[in-house]
Amino acid sequence: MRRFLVKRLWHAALTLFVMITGMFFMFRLLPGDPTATVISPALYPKAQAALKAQFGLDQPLWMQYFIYLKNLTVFDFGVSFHTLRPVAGEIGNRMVNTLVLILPSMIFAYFLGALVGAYMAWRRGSKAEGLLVLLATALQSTPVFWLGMLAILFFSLKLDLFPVGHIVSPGKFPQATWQMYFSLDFLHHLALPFMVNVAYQFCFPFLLMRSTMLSTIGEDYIELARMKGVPENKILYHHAMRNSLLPLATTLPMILGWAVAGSVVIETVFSWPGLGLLMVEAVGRSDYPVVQASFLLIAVLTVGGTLLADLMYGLLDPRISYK
Amino acid sequence: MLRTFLNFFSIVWRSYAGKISLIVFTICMSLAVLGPIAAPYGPTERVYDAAGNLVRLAPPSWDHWLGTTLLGRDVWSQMLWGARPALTIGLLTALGTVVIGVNVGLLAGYLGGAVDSFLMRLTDIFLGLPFLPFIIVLLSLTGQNIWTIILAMMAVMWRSTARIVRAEVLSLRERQFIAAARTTGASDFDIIYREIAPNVMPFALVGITFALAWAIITEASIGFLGFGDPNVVSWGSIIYDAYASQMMYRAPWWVVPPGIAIMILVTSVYFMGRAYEEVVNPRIKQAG
Amino acid sequence: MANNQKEILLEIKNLDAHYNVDGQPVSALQDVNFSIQKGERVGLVGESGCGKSTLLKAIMGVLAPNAQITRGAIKLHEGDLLQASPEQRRQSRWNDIAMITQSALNALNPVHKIGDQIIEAIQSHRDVDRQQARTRATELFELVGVPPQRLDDFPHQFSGGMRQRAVIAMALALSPEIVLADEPTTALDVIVQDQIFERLDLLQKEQAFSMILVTHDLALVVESCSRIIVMYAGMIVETGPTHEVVRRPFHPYTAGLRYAIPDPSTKYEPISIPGAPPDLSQQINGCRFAPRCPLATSKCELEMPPLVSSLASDAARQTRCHHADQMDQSRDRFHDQSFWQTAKTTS
Ligand SMILES: Nc1ncnc2c1ncn2[C@@H]1O[C@H](COP(=O)(O)OP(=O)(O)OP(=O)(O)O)[C@@H](O)[C@H]1O
Ligand SMILES: [Mg+2]
Repeated sequence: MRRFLVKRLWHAALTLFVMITGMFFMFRLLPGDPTATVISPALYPKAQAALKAQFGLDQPLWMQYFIYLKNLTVFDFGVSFHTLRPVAGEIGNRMVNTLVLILPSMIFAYFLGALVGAYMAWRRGSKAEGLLVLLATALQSTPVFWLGMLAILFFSLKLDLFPVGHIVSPGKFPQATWQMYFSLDFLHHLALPFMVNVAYQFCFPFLLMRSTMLSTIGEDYIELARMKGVPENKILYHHAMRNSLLPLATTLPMILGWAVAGSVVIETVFSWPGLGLLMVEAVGRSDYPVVQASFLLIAVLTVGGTLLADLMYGLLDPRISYK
Repeated sequence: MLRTFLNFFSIVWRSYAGKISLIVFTICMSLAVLGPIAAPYGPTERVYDAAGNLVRLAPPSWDHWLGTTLLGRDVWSQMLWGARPALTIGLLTALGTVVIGVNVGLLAGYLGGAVDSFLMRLTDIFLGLPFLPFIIVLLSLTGQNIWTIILAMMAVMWRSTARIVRAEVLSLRERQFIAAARTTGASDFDIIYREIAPNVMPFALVGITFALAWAIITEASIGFLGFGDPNVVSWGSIIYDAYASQMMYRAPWWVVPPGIAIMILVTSVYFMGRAYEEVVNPRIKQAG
Repeated sequence: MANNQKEILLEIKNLDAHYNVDGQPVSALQDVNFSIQKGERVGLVGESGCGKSTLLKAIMGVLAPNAQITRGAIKLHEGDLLQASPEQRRQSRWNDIAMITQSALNALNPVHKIGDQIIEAIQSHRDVDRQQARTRATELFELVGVPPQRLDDFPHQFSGGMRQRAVIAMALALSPEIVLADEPTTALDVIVQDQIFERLDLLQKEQAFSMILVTHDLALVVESCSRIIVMYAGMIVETGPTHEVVRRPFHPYTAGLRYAIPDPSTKYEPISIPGAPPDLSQQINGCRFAPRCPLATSKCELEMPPLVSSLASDAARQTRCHHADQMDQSRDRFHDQSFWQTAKTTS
C-alpha cells in the first residue's frame, strides 16, 4: 500500500514537473514575443532594458527557469504583465470561484447520472430507456457553450429568471470575501451555469452506469441473489449498483479534473470569474505569467483528480491489494 | 486494412441506430462536399436589398431560410460553408490522433521494458494535461489557422487510443501466432505491423469515431473562445460571432442552427462508434 | 414399492418453456413431467444444451427475462408456484428450495464478504438479528468444513473448492426441503470434486433434504441417486430407478449415454452418438431423437411418442419411445458404433 502510494505520488509529481517545464519553455521558445505587449519595442532601448530587468527577462533562459522554479515553491507566480500586480494575489480567489461552480454541479450530476443510469439498466429495453440514451448522447454531443447560450437566451433574456452572467451583481461585493458565497445573490447567479453544467456532465455517468449495470445484471451473483430470495430493490442497490459503482466512483475525480479544464468554456459563456475565464483573458492579452499560473493550477487539479481516481480504485475494489 | 474499414460500415449498418446514424453522417458529408456549391451566398458575403441597404438581422424568410446576421450575412449559406471545416478538421484530427495513438500503443505494448515505461509515462503526462487550456495556449503561440488547430488537437488526443491499443497488444503478444512468427525469425517490425497491427484495427476504428466526435466539438469550442482560424467560417465561429455581437436575443435564428448541426453530426458519430464497438468488443455486446 | 407411500414434495406437470431469440421462440422445455419425494435423490442427465439448467431455473423462478413458460404447473406441497405472487415466490425461494449453481465460482459477489452473503440469505427470510444470523453462518461453515474465521474473507481470497463449499453452506442456510445442484463441481479438480461430493452426500443423509443432481457423470448418478431422469432436447426421454435404467435402458438415447462410458466388465468398446441435437427454433412434430436414432421409422418422424410406462411390472419406469418394446432384443446392437451410423442423418 505504501509503495503504491509513493509510486503514484511520484508519477503525479513528475507529470506536473514536466508540464511546468514544458509550459515555461514553450512560452519562451515558440515564435511570437509575448513580452512585446508590456515592453513596447517603441520605447527607448534603455527603458526597455529597465523593464526587462524588472521582470527578470534580462537573465539567461536557464537562469530564468531556475528563478521561476524557486519562486513556485513559495507560491510566487510572478507579476502580471497586465495589472502589474503579483499573480498569486488574484489567482487563489479565481480558483475558489471555479471550484464552487464545478465541484457541486459535477457531484450532483454524478449522483443523478448514476441513479438514473442504474434505474434505466434495470428497465432495459423500455421506451424510456431508449429515449434517455438518445437524449444523453445528444447532450453529450452538444457544445456546452451553446447549451449555455440557449439557457441564457431562454431563462435570462426571455423569462428574466436569472442574471445573464457574472458571479454576483456588480458593486454588491466590492471586495471579494467568503460571505459572498453565502449570499442569495451569489446563488441566483450560480443557478444557471450550475444547471447547464449538470445537464452536460450528466451524460457521462449516466451512460457509464447504464452500460456497467447491464453487464453486472448478467452476472451469476445477481442470479444467486435472486435465488436467495433477496428482495428486488435490494438486489438493485446492494448487489447490482454496488458492483457497478466501482468504475463510476473511480472516474469521478478524473472527470472532475477534466471538468475544471473544461471550465474555460462554461466560464466564458457565463462571464464567471474563475480560473478558466482568467486564463482565456490572459491568453488574449499575452499576459503569460497569469497564463502560466492559471494553467498550472488547472493542471494541479487535473493531475490531482487522476491521482485520486487511481487511489480510490485501490480502496474500493477488495481484489486490488497494492502489490 | 481496407477490409476492416468496409467491414465497419457493414457492421454499423446492421443495427437500427447505426443505420440512421450512417445516413445522417452521409448527409453531413455530402453537405461538406457540395455545400459551398449549393450555398446561395458566400460565407462572408454581405447581402443588400433592392434599395441597396444591408439586410441586417433579418428573420428567416423565403429569401433567407435561416435569416441573416448582424453584418448582413446569410445564415443558411454560412451553415453550408461551415460543414466543410467541421468535417475536414474533425476527420484529419481523428486520423492523425489514431495514427499516433496506435503506433505508441503498438510499440509500448510489443517492445515492453524501458520503451513501454517511457511511453506510458508520456501518456500519463498527456492524460493529466488540461485539454482545452493547453490547446488554447498552443494556438496563441503558434498562430491560428486550421493546420495549427489540427496539430494542437492531435498533440493531446492520441493519449486514449494509445492506452487501449497497448492493453490489447499486451494480450495479443502472448498468443500462439505471434510466438510462431517469432520462431520463424520475423523481424520485430514485421511482427508489429503485419501480425499484430491488423488485430488492433477494430480498436483503432473505435478510436477514430470517438476522436472525430471530440474533435468536432473541440474545434467548435476553440472557435467559440475566439481562437479559431479567422479566415474560415465554421459552425463554431458562427456561434462565436453571434455571441460576440450580443444580438443573440434579437436573432435566435443565428445561434440555434449551428449548434443543432453540431449536435446532430456528433450524435450520429457517437452512435456509429457504439454500434461498431458493441460488435467488435464482445465484453460490451454481452451487456446489451 | 416402498417409495410409493412416501410424500410427494415437488411435482412438475406438463411444463413447456421457450426462449425468445431475435423475436422467434426457441423451445427449451417440452412436456416435462416428474415428481420428487421427500428425501429422495434424483440424477438429471443429458447432453449439454438439453435444458437441464433451464428446468432448474424454472423451478427456482429465476429464468432469464427472454424465457417464457407457456404451459404447465410446478407444484410444491400441492400449491402451484407458477400461480404464486412475486412476493410469495420470493419468500419460498431458498426457504423451500435452494440451488447450488453451475458456475458457483462466479456466484459469490466479489465486493461483499462471504459471511455477509450468507447472512443476507438468512435475513431475507427470517426475522433474526445479525448476530443470530452470524451464529448460523458459523454453524454452516463448520458443517461444510471451512474454518468459520474465514467468514470475513472476500470471495477472491477463497480457493475454488472453498467457494464451492461456501455456496453449499449458503444453500443449506435455511434448511430447505429441496436442494437443486447444477453440476456443482464442474470447475474443480477431481480430488476436490470427490471431497465436495462426499460432504454433500453426508449432509444429505444428515439433513434428509431432497436433491436433484445435474451432472454429466453417469457413474456419479449411479453411485448417489436412487432415481434418474434422462433429458434430450428439452424433453424427458426416460426415467426410473437408476440401477434399472442403466442396466436395461429402454430409450435408444439412454443406451447411447450408457454405452458411451467405458466398462471394463464387458467386452465392448465405448461408442459415441453421431450427429447433433435438433434445431429447436423449428417446429418438430415427431420424436426429437429420430434423426440420430438407428431404430427410427417413419412413425418416429411424424408422431411424438408419449412418456409412458415401459415395463408393466414397474410403473416408475417410463420411456418416450415408439420402439421401447424392441429394446430388449436390440439392446446389444447399441454397443456397436457401426449400428449408430445407420441412423438417418448419419448414414
Ligand atoms: N437466455 C437464453 N436465451 C436464449 N437461449 C438460451 C438462454 N439460456 C439458455 N438458452 C438455450 O437453451 C438451451 C438449454 O440451455 P440450458 O442452459 O438449460 O442447457 P443445459 O442442459 O444446462 O446445458 P449444460 O449442460 O451445458 O449446462 C440451450 O440450447 C441454450 O443455448
Ligand atoms: Mg446447465
